[in-house]
Amino acid sequence: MESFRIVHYLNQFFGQLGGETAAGAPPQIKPGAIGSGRVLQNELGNGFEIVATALCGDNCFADAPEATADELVGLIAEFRPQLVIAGPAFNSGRYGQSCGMLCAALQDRLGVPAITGMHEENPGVDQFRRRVLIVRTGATARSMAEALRSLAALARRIAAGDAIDRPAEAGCFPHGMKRPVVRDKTAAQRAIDMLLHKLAGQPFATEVSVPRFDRVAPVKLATALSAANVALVTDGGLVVKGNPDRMPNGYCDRFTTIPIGGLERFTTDLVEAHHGGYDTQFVNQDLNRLVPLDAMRELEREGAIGHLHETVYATAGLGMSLTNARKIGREIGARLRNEGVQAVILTST
Amino acid sequence: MRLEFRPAPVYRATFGASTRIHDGTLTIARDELRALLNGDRRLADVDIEIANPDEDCRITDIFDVFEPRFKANGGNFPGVLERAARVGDGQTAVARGAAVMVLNAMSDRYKLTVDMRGPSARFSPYAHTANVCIRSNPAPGIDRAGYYRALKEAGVRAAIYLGEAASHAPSEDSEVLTLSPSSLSERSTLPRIAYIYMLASQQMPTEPDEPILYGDNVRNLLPTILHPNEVLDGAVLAPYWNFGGDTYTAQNHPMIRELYTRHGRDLNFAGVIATIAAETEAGRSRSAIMAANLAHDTLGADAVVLTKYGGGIPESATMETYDACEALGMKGAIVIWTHGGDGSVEGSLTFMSPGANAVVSCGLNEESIDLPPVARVIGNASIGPLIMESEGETRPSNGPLHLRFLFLAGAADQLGGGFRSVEEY
Repeated sequence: MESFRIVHYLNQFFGQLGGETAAGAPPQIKPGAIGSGRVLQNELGNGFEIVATALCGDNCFADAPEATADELVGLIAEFRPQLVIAGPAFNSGRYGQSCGMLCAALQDRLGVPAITGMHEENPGVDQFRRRVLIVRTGATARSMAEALRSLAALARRIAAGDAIDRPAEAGCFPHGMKRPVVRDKTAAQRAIDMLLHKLAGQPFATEVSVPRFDRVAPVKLATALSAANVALVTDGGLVVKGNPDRMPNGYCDRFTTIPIGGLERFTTDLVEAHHGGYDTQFVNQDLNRLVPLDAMRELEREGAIGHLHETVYATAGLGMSLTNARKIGREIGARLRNEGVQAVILTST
Repeated sequence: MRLEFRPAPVYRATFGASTRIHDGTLTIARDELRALLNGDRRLADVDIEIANPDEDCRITDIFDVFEPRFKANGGNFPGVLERAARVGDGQTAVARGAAVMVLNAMSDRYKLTVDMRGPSARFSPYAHTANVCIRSNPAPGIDRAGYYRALKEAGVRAAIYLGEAASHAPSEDSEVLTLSPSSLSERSTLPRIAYIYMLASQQMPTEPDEPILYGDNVRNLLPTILHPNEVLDGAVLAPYWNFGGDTYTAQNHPMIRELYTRHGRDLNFAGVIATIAAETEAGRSRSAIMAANLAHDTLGADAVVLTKYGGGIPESATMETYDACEALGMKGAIVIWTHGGDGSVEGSLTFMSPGANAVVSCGLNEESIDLPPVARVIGNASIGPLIMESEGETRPSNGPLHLRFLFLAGAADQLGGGFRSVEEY
């Protein structure tokens, strides 16, 4: 029976091209196992063969990640691997980045499974865990033997056709994704079970994990408020009458703009609220309740603020994914900064 | 309180000369029931249809579902057709296995559907009940609030009418539910667990005469203690915005049932606190603090379990209440739905407390199921648009249907009765 074909990927250091001076080494591939790859070959045992070792310097990869990954994919494809093992990268940032990027590219372009190993503090973990199986390793190459053992064990499972549905149980970082399941107890039964375990100080596993929270430090206003250009932003679904941008009323992936230059207050012939998550009837009687244009004009006249920015940015914040919320936030923020805005009032619903 | 349920089992329903339950068959005098419901001048074109388990039949446009019940000494769905009366005590006849479904002819983005067979049957309790469906149109000049009130009354009327038939049928085994003040206060080594029950969310304000708790619209409900039997015996109806539990669900409340089952064995059921998701932030804080205080200082709870009702704002209300309870030293667990977002574990809820470490999911909001075409439909000829669907997005009711579980009746049970969940991986 033919052996299960594996290509191994290493950086310049572990691939024995040299130290930091060889970090610019271009993508290349050599037949057989090299360095730690020989230990990996021993761990894998009979029935597995490291047919080639792909190599690249960390700087070379970091300087042009996509082009380098492309080139390596091409080199690796020629060896027709059934699995690619990259690294392990331990806690090395650039190396982790390269391993993750290459694994993702191989899976996307060749449909070949590709695995790697990293330490939990390697930034590559967060960047690629969703798409790539990453074995947990120690922080440094001192834990090489153990890391290779874990990679070999995972490789054997993949070769046996195991889809690795639960990465954490296979010694990997969880993908950080969720999927629907049907359980054998009702939600009420599970909740009471969980509560009783919690009360008794016994282990229990929540079904919905607490997300990490971003902390945004407030920025100090560089100018006096009375000189500042102030903008209004809302997630309450404000749109130009008739919703010409076709902004969805929930699960939104975009924002819209409402020009307010020369406008004293919102009137119902100009704008409306388009939002599926709250009762819009009172807002739709008077849109200044949602975005206080009328009050801001007064403050502008009184000189409390310097100037009211002439564009209102709006989206509908209902069931919006954090990915979309971040994207929309960044885009609105960048535009406001380019437009010379110093302060923003956000009104939410 | 000592509540005795006397269930008469029902396996199928049929029309016949007189209304009665015999050998598991509920026979309904169609004209008599129709005449009873036609007495309401807010309703036009009232008709009754029946759907039995495993029929090639789909029921659409479901507004609410009721279990037929009858209390011979009064107190039938108190505060709706009759004045508030004591419930949760005494005998209640039940047509167990039957359900009254009230259908809504108006367009509404929150109407429910059930198939009596096929792939969705395992997710909906109503695929397994003999369903008595009430169809009607609003009479000319009747607005939405008037029509919805009339639909609730029609459901209650039919549930009592069929419940009375159950009271004349032999009951196989009665079930006694009792939680006396002594057991509420008794010292036990078992942990005392209170249930914080969100009845409704005011993000969509309830109508002035919308009957939810003893006929009250809970518009400004402050947290209050209920005996669990009151909930099970008809004191709580689903809101018009039926989004997470029908009246039938409250009558068979999965969380209260579970707490009763484990009372005296694993835990000491300390009682139920009814609350709402208030419309304002100040209101939500007020409710959170008061509910936590009631659980801690009046019910003496060691721990609380919380469920929510409605959409996204109740997520904040639930988390705030959970935090208030934990701040008093009580442990908490939450049943709550899960948003799909981009598929990652981030953004599962619009708001989550950093301390919410015991959360049970009652299903992924975006998850859908594909239903095959059906031979017969009870309801309007087309379905949609439902929430998150575009204006004009309708499809034939009898065709293949890609339906979100949120709109499969009983399958998006926010009160804890379902098996659907999410797994993080």
